[in-house]
Amino acid sequence: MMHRRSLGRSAGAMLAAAAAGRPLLRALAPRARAAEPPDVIRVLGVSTGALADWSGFERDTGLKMAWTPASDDVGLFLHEMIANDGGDHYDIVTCLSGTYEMLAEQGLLLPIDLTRLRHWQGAADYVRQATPLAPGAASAWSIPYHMNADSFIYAGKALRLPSAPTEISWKLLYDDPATRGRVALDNEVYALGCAAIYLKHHRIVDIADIADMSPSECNSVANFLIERKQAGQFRTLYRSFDEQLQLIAGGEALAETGWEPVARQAQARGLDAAYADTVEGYDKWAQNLMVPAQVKDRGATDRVHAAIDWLLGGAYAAEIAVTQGYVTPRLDLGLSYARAQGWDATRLATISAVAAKGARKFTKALYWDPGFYRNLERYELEMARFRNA
Amino acid sequence: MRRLAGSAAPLFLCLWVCLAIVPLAVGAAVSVLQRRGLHVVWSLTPAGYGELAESGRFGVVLHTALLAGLVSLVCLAAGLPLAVWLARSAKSAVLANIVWICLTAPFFLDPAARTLSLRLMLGAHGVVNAGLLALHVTRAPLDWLLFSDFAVFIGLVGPYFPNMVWPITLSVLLIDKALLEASADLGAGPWHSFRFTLLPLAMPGIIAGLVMTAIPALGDGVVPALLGGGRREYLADAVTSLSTSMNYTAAAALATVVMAVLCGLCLSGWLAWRRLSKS
Repeated sequence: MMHRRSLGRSAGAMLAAAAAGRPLLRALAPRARAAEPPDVIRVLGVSTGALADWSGFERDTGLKMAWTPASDDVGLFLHEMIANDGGDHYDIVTCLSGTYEMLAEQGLLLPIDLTRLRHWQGAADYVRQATPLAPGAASAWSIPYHMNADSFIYAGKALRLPSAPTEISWKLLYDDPATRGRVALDNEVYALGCAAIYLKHHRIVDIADIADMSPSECNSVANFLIERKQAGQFRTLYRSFDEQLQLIAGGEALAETGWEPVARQAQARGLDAAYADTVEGYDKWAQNLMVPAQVKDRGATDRVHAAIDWLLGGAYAAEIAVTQGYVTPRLDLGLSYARAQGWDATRLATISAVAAKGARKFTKALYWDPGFYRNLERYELEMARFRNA
Repeated sequence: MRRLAGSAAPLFLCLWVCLAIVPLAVGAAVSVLQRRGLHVVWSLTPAGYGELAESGRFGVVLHTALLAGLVSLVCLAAGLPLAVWLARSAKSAVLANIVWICLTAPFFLDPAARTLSLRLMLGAHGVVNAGLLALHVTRAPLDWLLFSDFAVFIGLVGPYFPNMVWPITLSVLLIDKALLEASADLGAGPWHSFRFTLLPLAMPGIIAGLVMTAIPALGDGVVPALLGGGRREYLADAVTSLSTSMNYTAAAALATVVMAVLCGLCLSGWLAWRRLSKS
């Protein structure tokens, strides 16, 4: 099952493997590296961030791309980086924006020199908000290379509601008689974040920072969800892409928190499924590029910066906007690239629409979801309380 | 042979202790240690158990155990007559073979695909609701057919039913036919022969069937995830959720509680078996 942001894996195993396995892995690593040609950039990244054809990258940079598809599982990613010494095997790694913190604390990341990234200059302010700066001048622990603002899917025709860009309130999910008993929510802690957007905006609950809620704030959000659950508002909680699609297709849900690609697929099948522009804000997330500390030891810093700069450039922006609908840091370059390449009007319109969506949604104050929380165990406990209420 | 078995027994015991008992003991120990971030520190605390209570997970264990028990009892009630028929009474070899093939089929199907098809059948626009509406049994689709304990129960009975039938059938097949004939010769009717001859002799198969049905049903993650609808946690959901949030002390506490419940069930079963044997 596909899931964008689930955590996993044993920290016990992580720590044990980190302690016991590192010397052995380090002894074996040079041999593995020696087998790799020096012009290959090895990336561990989510499959949705990979291009079908990297020939443009290879032509522009003189490097070869070796992209290892990874899930968006934050726990697996941290396990790979900490316990499996991922930095020995990859030149660039990508994950949700909040994961840099644990890796940086353990000295596993090399700061990215922003002055060496031509395409970084001119990135929108909202992109910079998801860019954690490293100590020192003009360097960052990680850089967003694609992002989106998640909201909810709703049956606009059945509910007689307008489509985007008209803004709809999250109230439709939590407190609307029209959707009572026909709402589906994410079965993971992200459900708390989405509810918190509604609660914070309307000042129903005082929340300082949705991305870093205190135990009492989590408790208040869960209490609200429990109250709504007991009022019969929710039909089910889902875990995967397929489930989201099936709930809308089968008529089990009239509204559900969800991902834009699900709405796109539902629309392509002719289903009554709109993706909401919201009054209150979005679950904004970014997939960030990070550079393992070992890159410096093996003298790959220059080519890694060249590869990152290409990923921030127009060719990547244009391709990923058309194939995934994701926002990238320099969609202006994407549009220029597409025009220069003579792309058809439909694809140009898609890129323009994605750029407009980025400007519209990412400028809302709420909220950047880091994908990894300091009080994760409290988020989990409150989510369990909601499920079991 | 006996000498070989005698020398292998301590080795097996050592391996069993290392691979099964020690991890359980470590889990029980971790459950009362203090967690600090991703680390566990050597300080005793019942916090892990406190978190289980606060999140309602003691109830999750009991609820899932009851559901697994109910699934096992229903499988036993339907599987015992079928197993006896297959082993003793099936006259038509073709029919018996068809039944065997049907009982084998669940093992060849992907659990997720099997459960998803049930989900489609039980949904608001599924064939079950469509049939009920067509027959005017109900005026509107029944919501509780899906995303409910009922749906999970149906989803568990199907795949685990063969687990009950197979061992009981083998157990009944091994019973010497002469014993049943002797029982009849001594004047016992079909019920008395079943109750006092066949049932005690088939008991190892019944116990194996109960274990092979109840334990997987208790820990099944696919069926509750797809048919339960997440409106209530089941055991597998709770374990996944705790481990994915890296809360290892609470996960260890949950595992320890489950072990305690299983030990309690085994003890109850053993006592019931002793009472049955004496009667």
